[in-house]
Amino acid sequence: MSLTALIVDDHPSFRASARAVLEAEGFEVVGELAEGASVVETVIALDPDVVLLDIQLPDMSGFDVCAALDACNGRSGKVILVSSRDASDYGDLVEISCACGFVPKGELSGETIAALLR
Amino acid sequence: MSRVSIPQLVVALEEGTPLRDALAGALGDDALSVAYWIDRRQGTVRGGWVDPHGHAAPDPAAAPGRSVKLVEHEGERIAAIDYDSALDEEGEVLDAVTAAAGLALRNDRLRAELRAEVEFWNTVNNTVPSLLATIDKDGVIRNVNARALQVAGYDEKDDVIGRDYWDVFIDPSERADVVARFAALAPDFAAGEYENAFVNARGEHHVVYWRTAPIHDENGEVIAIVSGGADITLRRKRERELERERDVQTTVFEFMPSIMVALGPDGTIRDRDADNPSVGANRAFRQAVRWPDEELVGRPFVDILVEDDDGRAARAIATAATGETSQEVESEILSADGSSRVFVWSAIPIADVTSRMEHLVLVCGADITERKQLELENELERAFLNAIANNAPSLLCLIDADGVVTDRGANIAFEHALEYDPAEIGGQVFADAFVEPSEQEDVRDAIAGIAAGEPPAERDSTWVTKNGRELSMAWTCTPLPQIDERTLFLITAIDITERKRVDDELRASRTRLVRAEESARRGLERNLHDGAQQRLVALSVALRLVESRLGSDPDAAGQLLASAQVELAQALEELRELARGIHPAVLTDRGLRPALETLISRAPFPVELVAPEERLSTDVEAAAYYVVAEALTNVAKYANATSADVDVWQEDGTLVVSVSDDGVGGANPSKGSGLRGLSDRVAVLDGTLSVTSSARGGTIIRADIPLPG
Repeated sequence: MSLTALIVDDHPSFRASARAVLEAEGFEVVGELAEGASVVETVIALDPDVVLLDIQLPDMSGFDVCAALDACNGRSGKVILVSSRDASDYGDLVEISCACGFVPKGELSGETIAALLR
Repeated sequence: MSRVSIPQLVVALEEGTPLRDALAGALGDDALSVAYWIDRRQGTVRGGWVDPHGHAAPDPAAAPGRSVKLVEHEGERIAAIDYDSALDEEGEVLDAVTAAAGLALRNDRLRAELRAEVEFWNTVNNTVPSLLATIDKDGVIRNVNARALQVAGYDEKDDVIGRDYWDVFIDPSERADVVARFAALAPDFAAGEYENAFVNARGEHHVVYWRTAPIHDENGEVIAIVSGGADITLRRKRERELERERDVQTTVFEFMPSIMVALGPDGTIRDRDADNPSVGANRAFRQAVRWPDEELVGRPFVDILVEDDDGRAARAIATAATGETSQEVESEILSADGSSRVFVWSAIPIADVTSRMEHLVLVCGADITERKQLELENELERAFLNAIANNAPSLLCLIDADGVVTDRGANIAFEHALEYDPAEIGGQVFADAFVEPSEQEDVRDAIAGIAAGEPPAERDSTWVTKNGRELSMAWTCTPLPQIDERTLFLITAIDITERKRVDDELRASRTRLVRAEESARRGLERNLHDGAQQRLVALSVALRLVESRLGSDPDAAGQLLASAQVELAQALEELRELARGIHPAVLTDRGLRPALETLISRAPFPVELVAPEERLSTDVEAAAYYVVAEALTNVAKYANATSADVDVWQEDGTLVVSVSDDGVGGANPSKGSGLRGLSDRVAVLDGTLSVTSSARGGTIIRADIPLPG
């Protein structure tokens, strides 16, 4: 049984690349979102095994979305933050967030995600 | 009492028995008295009765038990005998005794009359205020009257009589002289008069004026000298006082700093005195006019005035001649050398102090030439300061310690700036009238602080004009040197409204530039992030996929590579576009015109360009480039235009950039940060940006940028 994934990013090109990478590595991409507002309800509806969450969303930051998921039955445990920037560009925000990991967009692969979920 | 006989009576009379006693004995009446009739009492015009001692006696009259017998001689009454009425029965005896005593009665009457006369003169002697003394030829006092005794300082005549008169009446220092003079007068002792001053026996100072005359005996020999004197001590004292007073007055008159000149009632200048022909004026006057006395005396006073056109001087003198003090008159008095000095004077009626006893007019005044000069100078200085104050660009305003503006206390700049008429400013409370209400308290406190001695400091406040306009003022309040009883303060202010507006404008423009810069950076970051970076991320992910598929699925890997190539080309194009937005390389390398050509080549509508080839300063080229770029962007976004014109030319050291379109118009520079940003950018180079746009259509954006140098 393959792992299910939800991709949240406002750039269609990234969503397409990410889907290609994840599917190539055996993930089932169950949904894509371009903004942060509907993440919580989508996660409740789809209950994905992993949420690839971009930090710089147009309507809110990925950290806020992550906190909202955490407040909702601790679903933030499935969140992996992604960004085209380096984690250090956000100071210690990545460190203290309740997400289970961070992956720079350029290094995205099924292996890295699987490693973080373990 | 037993009677004596008539012969016995005659014998007794011859023996000198007083007549009354002899008559009393002859008639056996102890109470008998005799009175004599004197036809004319000394010092009166009436006759009267006296007793045998010459003292005045009551009129003889019968009384109970007493009778009176009048004795006559040759038809005139000479005596009255008061006797016991019992003798009336012996009338013959009474008549016989009276007849026997007839001669004796007449003699006794003469004696009584002499005694009465002596008593009269004694009374006169001792009651006259004059001093009387009789001295003999040796200078020995034989008699003095009461007044002489008093002046000599003695109580009893015996203290004086028998002493040399110079011991009594002459000062010891003069006695030797007097003795010699007295000796020289002998033997005639001719009548004379003299005055002597001495200190009497009681130590009192006296001055006596004496007149002396000799008294001769029947042979013409001098037997005594009578001296009559008057005590003139007080008169002399008063005379000396008057003299001293006159000396004082003369000194005061002479040395007073005021001018004084005596005029006759006719207004002519007087001489000093009946026997002193010099001018009747004091030293101050003589020195002021320097006329020789002979040219002044007798000359009308108004003659030496420069003018008395209104007759005020003449009237003042006439007023004083009638006994009233005149009003003050200001006159220029001519000096002998032709110069003149200004005096303020009054004419005062005075009594002539000389013996001539006329009413005079004293002109009394003060030299105010210097004061006038000073006043004139002060006035000039004031006019000068006023001119400075009124031409000063600063606002000036004088206030008192209560903060009230003094009358006419503001300069023209103040009136103009605050839009008040000159008459409306004086009397206003400065802080209440001219300061914005919320700042009045501060201004009042500041002025009160200065009035209390705090050091002046510059302050910025908002003032309000009469018409309600607000002005930003930089002002100070400074205490002025005290020129009258008031302490005044000068408020000096500069209208910094315009400066403040420019400052504010500059600050806002700087802030906008900084913000624009900030915003541009953010935009750039966003563009990089959203554009090229995303494409490169996707490219990176794609290349990983290619790598993983190369062995298992070469076809899919090939497709992925092809799309990665497209992605890479787009990333490159976006980077190029960005770099152009930051600063077009063509502008730096080749200048304004080629850069503008490149710019218009990418415009979505035809653009006509007219621009000079030459290179300009980097700043000017950049500003001009961005004006055109932003304007064309706006045209493309909003104007719905079909074409545009870009014209660049130089004019009077200024580069003019004009972008016009045929679009819908209605551009508003106050909206839209693009035009505002351009305006700031041009303003940094001291240039101006104007937007002409009408609702009918078309917009012209024009920048005028001064060329450096």
